[in-house]
Amino acid sequence: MAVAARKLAPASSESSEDGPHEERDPVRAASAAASPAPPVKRRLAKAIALRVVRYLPLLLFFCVWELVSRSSPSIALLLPPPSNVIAGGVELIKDGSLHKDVLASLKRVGVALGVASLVGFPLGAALGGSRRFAWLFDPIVSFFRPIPPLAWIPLSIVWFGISDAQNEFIIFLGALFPIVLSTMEGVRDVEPQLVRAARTLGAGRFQIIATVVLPAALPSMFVGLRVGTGIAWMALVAGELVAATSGLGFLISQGRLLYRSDFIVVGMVMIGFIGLLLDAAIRLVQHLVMPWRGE
Amino acid sequence: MSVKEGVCISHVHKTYKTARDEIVALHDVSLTIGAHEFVCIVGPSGCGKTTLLNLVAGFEAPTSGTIDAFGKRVVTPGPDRTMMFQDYALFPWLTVRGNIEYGLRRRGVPGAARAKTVRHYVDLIELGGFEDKFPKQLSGGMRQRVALARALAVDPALLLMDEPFAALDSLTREKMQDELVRVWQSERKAVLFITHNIDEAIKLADRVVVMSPRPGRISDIIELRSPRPRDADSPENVAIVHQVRATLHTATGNGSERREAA
Repeated sequence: MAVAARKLAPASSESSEDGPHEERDPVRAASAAASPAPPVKRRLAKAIALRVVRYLPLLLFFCVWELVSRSSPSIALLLPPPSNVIAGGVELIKDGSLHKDVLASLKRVGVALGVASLVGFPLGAALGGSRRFAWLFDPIVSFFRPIPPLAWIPLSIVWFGISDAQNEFIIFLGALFPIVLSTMEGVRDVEPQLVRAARTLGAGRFQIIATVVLPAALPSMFVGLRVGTGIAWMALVAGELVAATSGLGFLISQGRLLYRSDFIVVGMVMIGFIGLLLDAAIRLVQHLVMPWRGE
Repeated sequence: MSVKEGVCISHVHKTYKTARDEIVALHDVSLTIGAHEFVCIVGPSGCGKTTLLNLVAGFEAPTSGTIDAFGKRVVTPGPDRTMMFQDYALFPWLTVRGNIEYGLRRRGVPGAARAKTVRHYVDLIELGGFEDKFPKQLSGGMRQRVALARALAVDPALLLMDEPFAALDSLTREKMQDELVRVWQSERKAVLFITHNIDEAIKLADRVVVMSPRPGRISDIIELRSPRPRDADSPENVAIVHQVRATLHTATGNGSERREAA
């Protein structure tokens, strides 16, 4: 509850006396000074009410969905009601296949993101840091960049067969370019004044790279990682839909073959949910690594 | 004064080549700065004052002529000549402490000695209690004080200051000027200070160097002997302000006038 109140009124979270509302409203300020408890309570109630109002349309959406799906069996087959989706999810959890598919997908994304980071960050840093290197290698990057990773699926199947390596290759391609390009921009846009400040304080070439260029480019690098992870997640699902024997994309395509539309929706919801978690995890790391950017 | 103890700028020219023509940023500039001297350069934009500062810092090389600092030819930047920038240029990812000790860390000064230096300069700039704040959490005046402490912490012989107070409001600026004089009197560095504010130059400097544009050159050097703190409204100083203004106007209006008093 307190968290909700703070989120809605960030400026007045620390002290109840000098929030922006009171400043504008002398009558309320006076009452707050006289008895601080009631306004706090009132604000909390207001926050809860706002929350409820905010999620009302979503709730309504689920209700309508449930009613429409239940109106006839043929519709329920095409669009399973939310209650069936939950039941389908429970079924998949019970037979252990849901967590197996989630782990299979996460492992592929993890491996591919790791390799994309190992290649992408140094490559982007070199492209952004050295004009000569950029001049020489920019044409190659520009040649491969506009080819969508999904267009590589057929060729990658020829190369790797239907395997983890094939999926990881597609994901790697999806994540690589956002990481390379953002890192390049971050390194290129380092404030020249900061480099000068470091030089005049006696920093050598490598010290400048480690203590100025890297921290200055870090925010852009994280943007690249976040965008890359988003695209990786999409590429994963596409890859698994076409060629895989496990994973969330496989779960969806199995659902289609078995006419279990509830499994399809379970897969979709899980993909969305895990994508959200991945992004939140990166944002958390970003916060820990770069405390100076916090509020 | 022996040349070894100060900075000697000798017949420096600087031209920039563009696609179509050459721009003369500095024309035959010669100037010596004593080991404990406070020199202010005033001049309108385009007079080459920032170029001159960059050359002394070692960021750029003169097209011809030489710059020697404390007996050594200037070729690269170094911690014997630290620079303070107009936009502070503090490292946003480092705290006040991290910024002040940045130069010390680069040369491997051990932790205890670093902590002592940081404490000394935090006291000097009166920012005790703010050691663990990030620059973003400080006001403009506080940031500039941290920049001053960072520049002083490596114990430079010469402090280069590029319009450091231009971004501050006038009250903070006056306070910072007083503070700079106080710090300079206790630390006794040579200072080369750039400003376009004549009052500021008169308040701070031992000598005021007046520069003029097209081509960038020194058109007058005025020595100030009255003790600090100085009152910009005293008759003596008002006369100097008028002299500087007159020099600037004739030199800016008529390019043929050159280096009468240098």
